Amino acid sequence: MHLDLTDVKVVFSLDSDFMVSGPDHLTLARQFGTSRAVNTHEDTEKMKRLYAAEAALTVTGSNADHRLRMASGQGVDVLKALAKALATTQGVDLGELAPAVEGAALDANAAKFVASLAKDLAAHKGQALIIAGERQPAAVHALAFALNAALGASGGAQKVSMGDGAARVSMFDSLSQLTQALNAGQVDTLVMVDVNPVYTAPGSLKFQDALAKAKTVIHAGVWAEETGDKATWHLPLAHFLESWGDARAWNGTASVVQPLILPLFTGRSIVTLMGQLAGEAETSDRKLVEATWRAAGQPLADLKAWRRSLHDGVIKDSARATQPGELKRADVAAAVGPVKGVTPTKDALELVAVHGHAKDGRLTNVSWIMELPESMSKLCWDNAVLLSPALAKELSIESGVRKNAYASDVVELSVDGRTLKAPTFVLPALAPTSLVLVQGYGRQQGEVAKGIGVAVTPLLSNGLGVEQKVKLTKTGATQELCSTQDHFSVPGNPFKQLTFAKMMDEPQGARERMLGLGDRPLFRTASASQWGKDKEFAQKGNVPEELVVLGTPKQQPAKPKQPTDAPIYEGQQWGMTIDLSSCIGCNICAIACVAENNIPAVGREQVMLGREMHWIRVDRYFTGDVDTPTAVHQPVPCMHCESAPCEPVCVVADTGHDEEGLNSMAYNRCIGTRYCANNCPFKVRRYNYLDFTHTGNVYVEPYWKERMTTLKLQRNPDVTVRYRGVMEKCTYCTQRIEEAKIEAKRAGHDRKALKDGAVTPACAQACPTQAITFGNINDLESRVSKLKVSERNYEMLQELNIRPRTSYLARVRNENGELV
Amino acid sequence: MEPTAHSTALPDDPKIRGDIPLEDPVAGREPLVRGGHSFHDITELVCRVNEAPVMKTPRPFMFGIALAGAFFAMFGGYIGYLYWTGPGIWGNNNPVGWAWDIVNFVFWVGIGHAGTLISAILYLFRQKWRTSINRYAEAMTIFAVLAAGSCVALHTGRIWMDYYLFPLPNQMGLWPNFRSPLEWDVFAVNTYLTVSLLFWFTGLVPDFATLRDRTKVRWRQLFYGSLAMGWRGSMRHWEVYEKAYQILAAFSAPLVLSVHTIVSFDFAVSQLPGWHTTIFPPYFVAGAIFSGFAMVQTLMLPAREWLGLKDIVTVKHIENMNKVILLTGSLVGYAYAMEFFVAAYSGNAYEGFTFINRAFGPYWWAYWIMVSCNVITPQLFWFRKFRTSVTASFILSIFVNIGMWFERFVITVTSLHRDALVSSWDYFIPQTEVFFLLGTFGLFFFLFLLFVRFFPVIAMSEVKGVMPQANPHWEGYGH
Repeated sequence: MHLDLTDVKVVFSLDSDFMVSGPDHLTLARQFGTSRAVNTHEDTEKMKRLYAAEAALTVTGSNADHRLRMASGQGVDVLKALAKALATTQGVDLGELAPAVEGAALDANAAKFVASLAKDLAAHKGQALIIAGERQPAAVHALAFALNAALGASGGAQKVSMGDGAARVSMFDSLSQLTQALNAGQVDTLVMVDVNPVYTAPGSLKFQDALAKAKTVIHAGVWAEETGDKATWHLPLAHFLESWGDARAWNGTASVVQPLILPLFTGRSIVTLMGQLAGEAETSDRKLVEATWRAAGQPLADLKAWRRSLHDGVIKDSARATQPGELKRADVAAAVGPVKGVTPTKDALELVAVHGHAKDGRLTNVSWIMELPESMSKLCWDNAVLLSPALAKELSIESGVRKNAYASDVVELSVDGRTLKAPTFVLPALAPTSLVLVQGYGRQQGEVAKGIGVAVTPLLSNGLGVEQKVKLTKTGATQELCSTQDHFSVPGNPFKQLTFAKMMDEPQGARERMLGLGDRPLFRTASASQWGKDKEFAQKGNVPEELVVLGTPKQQPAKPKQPTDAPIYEGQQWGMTIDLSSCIGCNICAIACVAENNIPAVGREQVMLGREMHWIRVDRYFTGDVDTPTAVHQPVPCMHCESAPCEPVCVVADTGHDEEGLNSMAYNRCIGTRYCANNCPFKVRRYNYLDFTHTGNVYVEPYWKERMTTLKLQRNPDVTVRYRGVMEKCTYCTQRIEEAKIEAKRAGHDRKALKDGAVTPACAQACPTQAITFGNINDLESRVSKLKVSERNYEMLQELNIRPRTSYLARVRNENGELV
Repeated sequence: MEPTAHSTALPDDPKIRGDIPLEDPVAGREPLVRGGHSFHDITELVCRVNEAPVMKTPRPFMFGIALAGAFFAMFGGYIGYLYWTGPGIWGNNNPVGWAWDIVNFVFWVGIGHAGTLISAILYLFRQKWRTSINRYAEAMTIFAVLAAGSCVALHTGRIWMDYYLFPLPNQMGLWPNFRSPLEWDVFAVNTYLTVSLLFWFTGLVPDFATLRDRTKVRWRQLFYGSLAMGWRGSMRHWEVYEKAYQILAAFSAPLVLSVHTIVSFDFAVSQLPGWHTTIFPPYFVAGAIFSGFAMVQTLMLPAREWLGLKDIVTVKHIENMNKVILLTGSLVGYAYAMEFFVAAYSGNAYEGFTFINRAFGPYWWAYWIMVSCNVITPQLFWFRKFRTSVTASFILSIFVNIGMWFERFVITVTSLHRDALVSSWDYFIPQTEVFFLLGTFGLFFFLFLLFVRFFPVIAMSEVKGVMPQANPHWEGYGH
C-alpha cells in the first residue's frame, strides 16, 4: 500500500508513527512537514491538519493539531465510531460495512473528537486520509483502507501495487511456523542470515528453546548477537556499506547498492554468502549483482544503463505500477465486525512496545544511536516503562528528577507468567492506562549494546507489540535513568495560581517544576486563526528595541532589519532559519551532525554527568495540562550571534568572528577555561572534559588503541578531531562552506559570492521536512533572507541584543476551531 | 586572673595580660602590648619559636607540618592525575562550566585581602594595632594567593598551554584577549602576588637581621643573613626602609579594592543572570575582607595560644578584628538582600528566577548555609562578650570561612546550573573535587607552618615602635 499526502488536507493517524517509522516515513514526513511551512497567513489554507489517536506519545502524535489519548486496544473502537459517525452524520455511504461498525462505546471526550474528526474528514473528501499504525490488527487496517476508499482516497492518497502477487504471511506467523517445526524436530539445519530472532522473537514463542532442537544452526551477521551466541556456527557478514547488493524501495524502485569501502575485516557480503549456499561458482558479490541486472532482458543489460544506475543510485522507472486497489466491503465487515476493543484498567494495563531510534535492536550496538535521546522522553542509553502522570500517582510510583539524574521506581510487569523488571519514567500525554516501552534494549550481546535498558520482547506474545492484561507491581528498588533534558520543562507558567505557601508544601519535584516556570518566550506558537488576528504573534515576548539597544532609538540607529533595509554587511554573510512549524522533532539533524563533525559519543556515565557533546540538540517543551499538553520541538545549534557573548570573555582570543559572520573556534588556541560556555545563553558550547575522541597525546587506553584503525576511518577527514580540554560547537559546517568555495573557484566562479544552496550544513541536508534553511543573509534573494523577513521569524533571547544569526520561524498550528 | 575593677587596674599593669578584656577606654588609650614587657622580652618572645633547634621542634608542630605536607604531596599527585585524565575528574558539566575550581580560586583570593588591608590600609590610616598581626596576615595573603593561583592555573582544560594566558611575544603574533575579564585576572593576581611579596619581604628585613644577629648556628646565620640583605639598623637604613614601606603600602592599598573587583568582573562582565550584576565589585571586596579577617582569626587565635603571644596579640586586637568582621559581614548581608531586591525590581523574569532558584531551588541548602554563616552568626559580635571571647571568635571565624566558601559556590554554581534555556538545566555533583580543595589547604598550611617555624610571625621592630616605651616622653603612668 502506498500513501501519498501530497493533496491531502486532513490526516488521521490512528496509533501510527508514520513520520518516523515505516518504510515510507521520510516521504510522508516531508509531505506533511513542508505543508506546514507557511510564510504568509494566506498560505495557512494549504496546511495539512493532523489528528492523532494513540497510546504512546509518538513523534507523529506530538505534531498533531488534535490528539486523542487512547489505548492501543481501543483503536478498533475509535475507528468503528469514526466510521459510524461518517455514515450517520456525514452521509458517507459505507454500504455493507455499516452494521459491522456498530456498538463501539467511547467516552464523551473521545466521542467529541471523533465527531469533529468525522466532520472534517467528510468535508475534505478526496483530500482526507486515515493512517492505521503498525500496532493495530489487520482488521483495523482493512477498515481504514475501506474508509479511505469511501472518503475518495483511492488512487490518490491511497494506492496499492501488486508486486509479485504472492500471498504474504506475517513475519510473526512465519516465525511461529518455524518454531513449531523446530519443536517438532523437523529442522535439521537452520541458516539465519542477518537476523537475530533469539533476541527479537516474542517471548511467548520460546524461540531459543526451540532453536536448541536443531542439529546445526548457522548464523550470519555483522555482529555475533544473541543468535550467533546460540548458533553452532557464526559467519561474519560484511556490512552493507562494504557489500554489493540490490534493493527495492517501498514503491518498488530498484537500486543497485554499491559498497563505499572494501570489507575492513574478512566478512562476506550477503550476496556472496547466498550465492555460495546456492552453489554459485562465482564468489564476487559485484559480479553476482552485475550478472543479475545485466543479464539479457534485464533493465541494465546495456552498459550505459548500468553505469547510469550506479551514478543515480536508482534504476530509472523501476517503481511498481500502482492501482487504486479495492477491498470487498463484505469481507472487511466480516473481519472487523467481531473485533472488539479492549479498554485497559489499572489492574489490567496495556503495554505498548514502540520503536525508538534503535528500532528492533539492530541499531542498539551503535553508540551514536544510544546517545541520541529519544524524541519525547529524552532518555538515552536507557529505556523505561513510560507511564502517564495520573497512572504514576494512582500506583504511587515515584519517578522524577533527583539532582542530575532521573531516579525512578523499578516495577515488574507480568503477562501470563512472563515477567520483566524495568524502571519507570513519567511522561505527559500518555494514555491513562497504557504503559509504553521502547524496543531494542536489554541486549545480551554487543560491545555497546550489552546491558543497556530492558528488553521488551520476552513479554510479548504477538507481532504487533501490544499486550493486554499486564500486571504491574512495584519491586521497591529504584534506578537512575539517563536523560539529556529535565523532564517536564514547561516554559510558560501553568501553576501560576498556586500561592507560595502551597508551593512549598509540594514535594520536591513539583516544587522545582514550579520554580522553573518563568515566562520564557523561547519558542513561540499560534494557531492559524490566532495568526490571522495577530500578525505580530511571533514577536510577542520580545523586549522593546529601545530597552535592548543602549540609549533611546533617537540617539542610536535602530537595528537594521535585514534584508528589507539596505545591506549592512559586506560579502556573503551566513545565517540560518529553523522552522518550528515544519520541524517534527525526529532528531535526524542531531545524528547527521554527529556523523559530519566527528562528534564523539561519551557514554552513559558521562551523559549522566551532563557532558553530552551534540552540537545541535532538539529541545522538547510541553505547555498546558500534563494530560493533554502541546509539545514543541526546537532544534538548537550555535546561534552564531553577531555580538556573541562567548567572544569577549575568551581569555586567549580563541573564539571570534570570521568575515562571513561565523563564530569560529581555533581549537589549537583553546586552553579550555570554559568561560565561553558559561556565557553562552543558549548553552550550545560543548566541552571535552575527557579525551572523548581517544586521540590523547598524554594517554590512550589500550582498549581504544586497538580500535583506533577503524575509529580513524569513521571520522570525517575535513573536520578536526578535538582533544581533551578543548571547547567545541556548531560551525555551520564551515568545512562545507570552504568546500563550496573551492568548488566555485575551480569552476571559475567568485568564491565570495556562492550561489544560494551551494552550501548545505549536515543538519539541513538530513532534515526530512526541510525545516532548516541556510544561506547568505546578505543576498536578498536567498531562501534564508526571504524567510528572515517572514512574520513568523523571531530571535530567541532577543532581549540580550546579541543578534543571533540563527533565527526561528514560530510554530503555527492548524487547529480545528470546533475542538479548541 | 580575674580582671580587677578598672579604678585600680592601670592598663599597663604587668599583671593584666593580653587575654583579659579591658573596659575601653580605661585611662587613655589601651596599650597594644600588655604584660609589662620590655623590648628585649618582645624579641625573646618572638624569636624563641624560630630559634628552637630543628630537631627540637615541638611534636605537635612536627605533626602539623607532616599532615599539611601529606596533603600538599597529595595535591601534587592530584595535579598529576588531572594532567593525565583531564578536567573530567571533576563534576563540572555543560551548563556548569565552573564549579569548585573557580569557587576555590575566589575563596583563596578573597582570603588574601585581609592581609593587604591590615598591612597597607591600616598602616596608611595609622592604625597601630595592626602591627601585632600584620606579618601573620601578610604571610597568609601570599600563601592564599599561591593557592588561588594554583586553582586558576589548574582549572583550564589544557594546563600545559597556560602560558597562552601571558602576553608573551610569539611567532604566531597572537596576544591574549585583553577584553576578557580572565586576562584582567591574570594581571590582577600577578600584580597582587608581586606587590604583597615585596611588601612582606620589606617588612621582614629588620627582623631577619635580628635573627641573624642572635643565632649562633652557621646555616641560620647564612640563611637569615642573606635574607636580611645587609641590614645594620643604621639611621639611613631605617629612613630608606620607612620610605620604601610607605610606598609599597601605597601600592598595595588600591589592590585591596582592585583585585577582588577584577575577580568579581569574571562574573559581572558576563551576561548570565545571577552574575551580571553591578553590585558585585563592592560586594566582593566586602566579602573578601570578611573572609580574610575570619581566616586571620582562624590562624592567629591558636597561634597566639601555642606560641605564647597573648600579650602581643591581645583581646583588644581580637575585638577590633571582630568589629571588622561584623561590619563586612553586615555589608555582605546587605548585598545579599540587595541582589534580591534588584532582581525583583528589574522585572526580568530570568533574573528573578535565578534568585528564587538560589534560595528555594535544588541548591537551597548551599544558599542557607551561606546566609546562616555569613549574615546571621556574625551578628553575635554586636555583643562584647562574644567579641572578646577567644573561643567564640574562633568558632565564628570557622563559620565565616565555611559561609564564604559557600557564597562563592552559590554564586558560581547556582547561576550556571539553571540559566535561560530550560532544556539545558542540570545539576552539578562534585566528583573528586574535595581532594582539590584539601590539596590547596595542604599547600597553604604547609607553607604557612614553615613560615611560622622559621620566620618571625610578629613584626618585632614595628611592635616595639608601638609600645609605650617607644614614646620618647614616656615615663610611666602618673605624670
